[in-house]
Amino acid sequence: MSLDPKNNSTGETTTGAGASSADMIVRPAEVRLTDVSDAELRRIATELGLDVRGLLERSTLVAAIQDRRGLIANLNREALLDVMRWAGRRVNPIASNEQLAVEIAQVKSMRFSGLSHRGLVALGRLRGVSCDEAMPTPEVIVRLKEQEGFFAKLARKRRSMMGKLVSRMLGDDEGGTGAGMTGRATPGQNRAGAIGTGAAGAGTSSTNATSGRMGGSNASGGRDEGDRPIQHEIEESGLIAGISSRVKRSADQYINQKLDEIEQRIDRKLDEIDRRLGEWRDKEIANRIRILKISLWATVIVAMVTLLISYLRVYWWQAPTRPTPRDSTPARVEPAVNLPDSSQHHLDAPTKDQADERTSSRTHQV
Amino acid sequence: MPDFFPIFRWLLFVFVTIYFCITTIQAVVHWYGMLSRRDRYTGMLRRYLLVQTLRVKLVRFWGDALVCLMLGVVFVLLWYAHVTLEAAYAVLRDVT
Repeated sequence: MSLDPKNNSTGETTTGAGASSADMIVRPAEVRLTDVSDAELRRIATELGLDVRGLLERSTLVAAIQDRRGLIANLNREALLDVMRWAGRRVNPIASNEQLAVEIAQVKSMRFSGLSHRGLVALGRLRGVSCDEAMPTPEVIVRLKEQEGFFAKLARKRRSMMGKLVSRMLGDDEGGTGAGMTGRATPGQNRAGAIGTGAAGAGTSSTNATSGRMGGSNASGGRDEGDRPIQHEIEESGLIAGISSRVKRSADQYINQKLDEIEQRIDRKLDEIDRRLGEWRDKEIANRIRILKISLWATVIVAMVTLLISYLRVYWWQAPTRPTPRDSTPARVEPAVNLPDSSQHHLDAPTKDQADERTSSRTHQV
Repeated sequence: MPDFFPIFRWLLFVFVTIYFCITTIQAVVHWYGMLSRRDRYTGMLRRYLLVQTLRVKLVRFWGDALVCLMLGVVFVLLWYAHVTLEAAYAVLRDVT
């Protein structure tokens, strides 16, 4: 089932022929197990999900850890990701198999609805159950339940009852999960990896009944972090941890809602600023054009007035005059006495030529 | 009696040109000094100003623009009329 990894000096490990290409992972150099203390070894073993009570000697502990690492390296990464999604844990895209296994080791849930077959097999192998892909799903589940110890099962039942009690107090209805598998978890439904778990749970509240129903829904496949009822959380991780995780999730949802509101408010402000700038721009352009129009009107009016004045000046007031040679003609003298004879009358009356000259001089003056 | 329009025209040209030069140079210097910085936010501001300029709808100002255009044409015609009248006056003066 598992092959011992070969730790060389570079820290690289190689897997056996039974592993698929996807399982061949080049791990970075790790601390040599021979160099760490016993306490550290126990901690590493516990992290990987090993039961250290039966591993007293250092050599057995090291061998168990190495076996475990080999097993983890052989597991299908997609199967581990399925388990993570089923457990409602946040998925880090760059996490290694071992990191995923450490997370999965903390999952104690025995409700396997929503978990894919390959995920179930991977979970079984991580929990020490001998199973493979060819084994049918119900048999794997039976083996997993048999593997659970009596006291562990008793504690789980106790936590389940407490969870049920707390959920009734909070008014959170129980999700219809039931037993048995419901099918493969469809990829892409995991929203626990995103910060916006509040968005996923935006439609749910701590007392929302749909969270439980969604958690057990066959159509949705995998569970989301925001959809698990509090009863299951308490059953898995205890009363205090379950309540605290629910409180944290509610706080995250609240913060995400507030952040969304703030973002919307900022967007509205930006749109208003944009609109006002546009209005100011148009107003400025209109003012400039109005100033230009007023200036042009003034100029045109002045031009028309001065044109009129010039026209009047040219054709009516300041008509140029030419000096004429007959301007020294003496003025006509009225006779003082009327002479009886015709000679005086002849002297007084202007001649025809004189009359013509006077007429022409008057014409020139005009 | 001196002709008032050329004087007015000349004074208008002088004052408007001076005002135009001063305000334009002042604005260009100010805007260039503000927008020539090479930081990220000034670049964003430049692009935003460009977008705002491109968003101007000239159709909104078509009325005033048409009036200005027509007044400009009238001004040119009046100017031509002045010049023609002055020429006629000069010819008339020479003849007489």
